[in-house]
This record gives sequence, structure tokens and C-alpha cells, in this order.
Amino acid sequence: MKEITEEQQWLIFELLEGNLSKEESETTLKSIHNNPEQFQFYNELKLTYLIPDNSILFNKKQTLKKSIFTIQIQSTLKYAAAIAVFGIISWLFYFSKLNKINPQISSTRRIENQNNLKNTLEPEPKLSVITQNKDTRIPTKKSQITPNFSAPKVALTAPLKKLDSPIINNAFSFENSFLTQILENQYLSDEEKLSKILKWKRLNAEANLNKTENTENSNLENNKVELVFTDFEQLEKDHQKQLRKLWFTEARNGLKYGKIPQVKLVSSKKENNWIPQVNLQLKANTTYINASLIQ
Amino acid sequence: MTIKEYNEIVNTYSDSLYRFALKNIKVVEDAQEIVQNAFEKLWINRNSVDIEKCKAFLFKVAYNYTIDIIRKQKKEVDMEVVTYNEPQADNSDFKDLKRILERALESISEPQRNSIMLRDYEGYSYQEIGEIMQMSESQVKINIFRGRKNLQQILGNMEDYL
Repeated sequence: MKEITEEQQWLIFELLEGNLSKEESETTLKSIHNNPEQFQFYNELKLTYLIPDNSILFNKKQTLKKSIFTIQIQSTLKYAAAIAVFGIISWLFYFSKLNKINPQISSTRRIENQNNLKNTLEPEPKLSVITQNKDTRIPTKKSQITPNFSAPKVALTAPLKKLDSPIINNAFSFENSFLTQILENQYLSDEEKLSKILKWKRLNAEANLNKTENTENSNLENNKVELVFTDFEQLEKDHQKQLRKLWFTEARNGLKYGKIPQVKLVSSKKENNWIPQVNLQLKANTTYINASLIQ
Repeated sequence: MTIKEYNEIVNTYSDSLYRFALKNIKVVEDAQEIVQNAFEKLWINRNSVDIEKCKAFLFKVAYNYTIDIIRKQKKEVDMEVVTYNEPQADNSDFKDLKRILERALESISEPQRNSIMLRDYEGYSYQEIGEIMQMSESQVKINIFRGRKNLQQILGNMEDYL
């Protein structure tokens, strides 16, 4: 076969591809019919056009398709996975926190047992406000103070019988109970526990003071409330003794775990002495003791 | 793209996509995997792919997978390949021009083959083929011209080919 030029081949190709205009097509077809080589090339090139084979089908269409149900499962799984991850993180966080708290609880309980605080627990005395017939409104101006005025007073509702030692025991057990509750409180730090104990001590002292005033000034005509003056000094001594015992226990327990009591220098000044007093404060876990150094 | 639209696209294009993949690599499992991967990719990108261009997207993904598989096959020559269960032609079968042409198609280069297949089977324009195969329009045209010329030469020399 005589070779035809590449330009002619391109023209035949363009004709078969349908890229020529109507006029160009007619001209090219005329040329093809007049030239046997071109005609043969045209016929052979025409055979190279593929016919789609529609017998080949993809029979796994269903696996490709999506349904609302599958989408919902997918989205539900996402949420379930998110919840599961959140749960695991929460559990780990709680577990780590529990590990921190448990030794504190166990050490507190150990101290309790050593001090036999639980054995001394007794019913708590209740506080009540004494209502009197007098004008108890607090004056805002000095001129409003009448001779009849007395401030509202708080006192222990003690039993009507005058009993010295049980009252002391009651007050003491109440204090022990209060201390136990504070020490067992898991949500308070050591500093908070200490500040609450100190605050309570101060209030207790004030209450005792008021109680003393009440005993002296109260009208006992109705004989409904009888207040008992407790031996506060003895109570304080017992309390200090208890605290010292607690301090030693705590310090000993701390030393077992390598925790040395904190040493702190605290200065205080008395009213009638211009030289400040320096105290050595030895703090264990919750309690501390003071040792006088220089005066 | 809604679920309904996506499912319609599966119905419309999965056969032609499978045909395209199977003609290229001749392995049924690979061709099915290509189709599944292409549609999975379409589903993942359903919010960014325009419905009108989803066919081109599918063929582009399928073409890329096909090229990867062909390259792997070239490297792993010793690997046993389960071939497409096409009836093996004896000499009498070669009278069927369609089969002859398909066998001849295997002999030409991959870009030429794919260009011709996309043009003839799917009716794509040069520009669309260029987008799928990531080449210029003129390059596509040259590939098709040279591919057809090669096929024409193979068909012309049929006796030698057989």
C-alpha cells in the first residue's frame, strides 16, 4: 500500500472523530473516494472504534448503596464512641482522684482509732435562742439605747438539773464530735480544716463568755432555762492535751511516710509589752504546737 | 448530595466504571475493588463534589487506582494473577472483530488505551479525558490518534499478530 501523508491521516482522523465542519467533511470524503490508499486507511481506521460491551455489569451495586438506616447507625456509632471515650476519661479521672483521697481517709481513720474519739461520742447539745420579753431590736443610734435594752443572747439548752460533770462531758464530747466531723470531711483541705477548728474555738469561747454573762444577768423567774458555768480552763486544758496527742500521732504517722513537721516562726505582740514574742510553730498534718522562743 | 441522588449515581455509573476498570486490568477482584473505592471516595466527598461532575470524579479516581494497580502488576511479575474470566479465544474466535480489537487494545500503551476507551465507551470530550487523565487536550488528541493508528496497524497485520 502506498503511504499517505500524516496530514492526510490527521484529516481522515478528524473526519471520523467528527471534528470537521460540513464543508470540510464533504471535501475530505471526496478526496478519500478519489484516492484508494486514503480509502483503505479510512476503512481500517473506522474499525478501531470500540463498541461498549454492555454485557459486563457490576453485580455488587447493593453494597455501594447507602440507606438512611446505615447512615443513622454510623452517626449513632459516632455518638456512642464519643460517649464511651468521655466515660473512660471520667472514670480514669475519678479513679485517680479516689486514689489520692483514699490514703487521706484511711490515715484520718487511723488517727481517730488511735485517739479513741469514736468511743467518746455522745449526743450533741443543742443551741437555742432565748426569747425574752425585753426589747431585743438592735439600736442604730446611741440615743436609741434604753435602760431596758439587752442584746439577744445565745445559751446552751442544758438539762434543768444542775449537773457539773455530765455537762462538761457533754461539751467535751460535742467538741470531739465536731472535730471528728471536720477531720473526716473529704472536701476540705488541711488549711480549711484548721481554720474551721480555730474559728469554732473562738466562737465557743465567746459563747462561754455570753453564757457566763447570762448566768449572772438572766432572769430565772420562769425557770425554763438554766445555764451552767462550765470549767472552761479545764476544758481548754483537756482540749490542748487532746490536740497535743493528736499532733504527736500525726507527726509520728507523717514521719513514717517521710513527712517532717513544718517549722514556722510566728511573732505576736502583747498589749502591755512592747517587745514582740516569737513562737516556734511546729505543724503536723492538721494540728500544730507552739513553743516559746524569745520574749 | 442526598442519599437518593448518591444511590441513583451508583445505578447509573457503576456498570460503566466497572467495565472501564475491568478492560484495563483484567482482574475481576481488582476491578470490583476499584469501583468500591471510587464510590466510597465519592461518598466521603459528597458535599464538595458537584452532581454534574460526579461521573468525571468517579472515572478520575478509578483511573488513578488503575494506574497504581498496573504499576504494581508490572513490579510483581512473579505474582499469580487471577485473570478476568473472558473466554479464551482460539483462532476461530478471532474472526469476531470485537474480540480482536480488545486483544489489540492490550498491545498499545496505557495512555493511548485509556484515552480511546474513555472516548469510545463513555463518549467523553478531549477536555474531559484530559481532566481525568491529568493531561492537556492536545495530548489527549495525539494519544487517541496514535492509539488508533497502532490499532489500525495491528488489525492490518492480523496474520502476523495471530
